Amino acid sequence: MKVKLVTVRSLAQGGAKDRKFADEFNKAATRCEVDEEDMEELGVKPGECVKLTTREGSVVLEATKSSQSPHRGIVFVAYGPWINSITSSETGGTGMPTLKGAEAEIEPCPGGRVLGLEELLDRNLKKAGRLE
Amino acid sequence: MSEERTVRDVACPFCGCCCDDLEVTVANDRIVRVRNACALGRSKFESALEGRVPNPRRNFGNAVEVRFSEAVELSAKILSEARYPLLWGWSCTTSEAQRVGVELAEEVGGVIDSTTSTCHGPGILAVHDVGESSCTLGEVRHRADLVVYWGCNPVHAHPRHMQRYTVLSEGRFRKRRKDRRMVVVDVRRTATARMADEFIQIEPNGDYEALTAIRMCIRGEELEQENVAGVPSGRFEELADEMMSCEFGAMFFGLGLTMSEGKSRNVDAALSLVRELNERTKFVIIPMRGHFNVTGANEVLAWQTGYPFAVDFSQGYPRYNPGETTAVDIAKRGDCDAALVVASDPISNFPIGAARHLASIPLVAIDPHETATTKVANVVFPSAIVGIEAGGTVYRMDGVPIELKKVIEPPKGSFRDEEILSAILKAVRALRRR
Ligand code: SF4
Repeated sequence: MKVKLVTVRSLAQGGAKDRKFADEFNKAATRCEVDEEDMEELGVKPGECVKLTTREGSVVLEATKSSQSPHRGIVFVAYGPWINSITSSETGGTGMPTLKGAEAEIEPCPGGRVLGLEELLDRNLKKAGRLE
Repeated sequence: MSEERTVRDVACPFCGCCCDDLEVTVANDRIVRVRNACALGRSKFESALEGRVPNPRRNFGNAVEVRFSEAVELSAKILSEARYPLLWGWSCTTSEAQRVGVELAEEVGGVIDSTTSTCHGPGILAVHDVGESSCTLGEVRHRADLVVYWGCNPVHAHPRHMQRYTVLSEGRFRKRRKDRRMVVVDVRRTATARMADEFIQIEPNGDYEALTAIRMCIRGEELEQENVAGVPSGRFEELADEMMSCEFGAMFFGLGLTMSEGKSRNVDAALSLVRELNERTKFVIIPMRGHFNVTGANEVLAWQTGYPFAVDFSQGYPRYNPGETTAVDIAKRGDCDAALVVASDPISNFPIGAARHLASIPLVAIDPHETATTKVANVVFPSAIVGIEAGGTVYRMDGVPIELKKVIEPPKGSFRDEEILSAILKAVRALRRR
């Protein structure tokens, strides 16, 4: 399903942002808020994994039912390294990447798993050869 | 020695509201209680000791703890050997430290950019073009009878904004909630939207259109389309009337404008709308700045170099060309060959392409806490938490300077950003003289 991806601050993400390796931050920044009807259409239940894909790549997140519905066709994810692993660095000459309203594809991801921060960094930055 | 003491009028080092009415109770140099803060501010004080960087360390293959002086030497070497170093972060530190940062950027011929470029930078570009009609938050509190939150969610990002400065505050001329109207424009029904008298839910990337529609109504032009940005046009006509008929209107905008398609142009439309409203009534516009001293980073850079962010010293004089000299663009192009990061986590916060390049070059990080950036940095300095373990000056979102307090001692081995940066600057100068 094609969606617009909007990244946001949330109380939980903000409150844990100085504790990047804590479970709370992981929880707050790996949830994908989906509109209830979109969830039904996708055949995904709250707590199940979804895969979000952009031209930059894919990331597995946990789907949650949005408390701020209706917003069909729009998904919300808190700022953080998970969602940034699929955001584009293109700024259109403004210095600012499109962190709200970018196009993405969402699909169910049965058997998927949300990566921990260390694993994610390892996967994303391995090419750079900095992590042992 | 377990006597409790309470420090009053403490300013909160979290968001751009810089609430300066906190009361922090300390016993045995530990924080035991924080009063008046919101959940974000409180958790910052209460979890201050969690996840700290223990000691300075170097990491070239394997991480080893080093003495402070060795970390300084290494950092100076990395920065002075680089052809085009990037000095990034700056919005969670004091203006005193920012000032040293500018000096260091000039000395090493690098680029200094703050998190501005990935938050309200596009808004600043719009201010260059249009100008802005602004005032202090105090004035909004006392006078505003119409408050519009556009593309921002203060309940989650600036939790005390409404209570201290707008609809829930008790002002001199507006005493109660019912003395003010509150309008929210957003792409979803946020917690903030639920508190509003009126909520307009627009489509993502529909801000420019919506703002333009209101501007047309104010000029007396007719909206021909039935819907604008997914909303029946009549709603914008009503909002335009409401805006023109208030006595003192205040619009607050967030990253909903700056991060969506259109970026600086969206803010351009909002600033223009407010300018035009001033022909009919009194209206102001203020950005909801996120980090507690991101405004200070703009102030300090502007008065030291003439430009508010993304300042490039590689030619020996300050140059400013957002889109080219902004951090994400520099990293994406692979231009910077070393970086210094102060109180920020670009490895987490940058889009993958830019983060990957940063992780591949020599990196120096100064931070109280372990982050994705400190994990991949070659040199890491633990620092005192600004506003808790170190005092200094910060600028609130409306440009009012506020004094942060030191309420407890930093852990042994953690220094103030300003001290660390001054030591690196001194070492860079010594290397140059050689
Ligand atoms: S609103 Fe912002 S400055 Fe005020 S207490 Fe909350 S986090 Fe701190």
